[in-house]
Amino acid sequence: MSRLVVGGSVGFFVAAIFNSILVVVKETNEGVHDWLAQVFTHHWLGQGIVVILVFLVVTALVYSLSKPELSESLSNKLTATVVAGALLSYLIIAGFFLL
Amino acid sequence: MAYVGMESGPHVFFALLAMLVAALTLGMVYRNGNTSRTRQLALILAILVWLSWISIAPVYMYEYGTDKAVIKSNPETAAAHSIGMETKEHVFYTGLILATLVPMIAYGTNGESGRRLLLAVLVLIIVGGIILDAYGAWIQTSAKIAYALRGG
Repeated sequence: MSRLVVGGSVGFFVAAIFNSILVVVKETNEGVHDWLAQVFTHHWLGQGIVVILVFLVVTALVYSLSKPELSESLSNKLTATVVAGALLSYLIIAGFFLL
Repeated sequence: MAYVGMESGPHVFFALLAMLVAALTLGMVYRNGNTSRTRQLALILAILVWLSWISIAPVYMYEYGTDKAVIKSNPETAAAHSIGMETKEHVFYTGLILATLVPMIAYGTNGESGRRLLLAVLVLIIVGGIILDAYGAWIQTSAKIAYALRGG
């Protein structure tokens, strides 16, 4: 089961950063914004679905590649990865709309 | 019968309940470690955050546009949308994925190493929830002010 934790943590980091980058791209590129709106009926809903898909795909990929043991040092790295992902995601999004 | 003003009520209700469950889970994990009860709470927490998203999606997509136009039409309140709502609506997805991760960690770990990861994620959920709630309060207050200014 610890493979799910490794996969999920890495999946979260990638999805969180992807979410932030997609915000910047979507808000500065009308084509991306409109594509999301056309395919998913609303750009915001589209963003959510795409971010969830990225999370699921990366989680599944890392799950299939990771080892079943969750060591102390790996757990510390995952904790740092998750915290960094959350903070970076917030700072990029908030910073983009603030500046 | 339509309850005007309650459109975002379920979203706020589920989000606040999720934060309470997160705080309870944090206390229980800190004190007793990751138990079968905290695993159940972790699952409930994730479900509540998903319900918070599902319940606000149609409101945001189809109803908020009217309020948005009024908020943006006043220079005094425009930032509540252009900074507050724009940040809130997008950071929420990071929180949604983070909340989904909580039961994965709770059910996927045992012992001290998993406990620390779980505690860190729960703290992030609570702090993030408070920040998003503050954005929500800003938007709600600005909407009232914007409508009042429009009414003259």
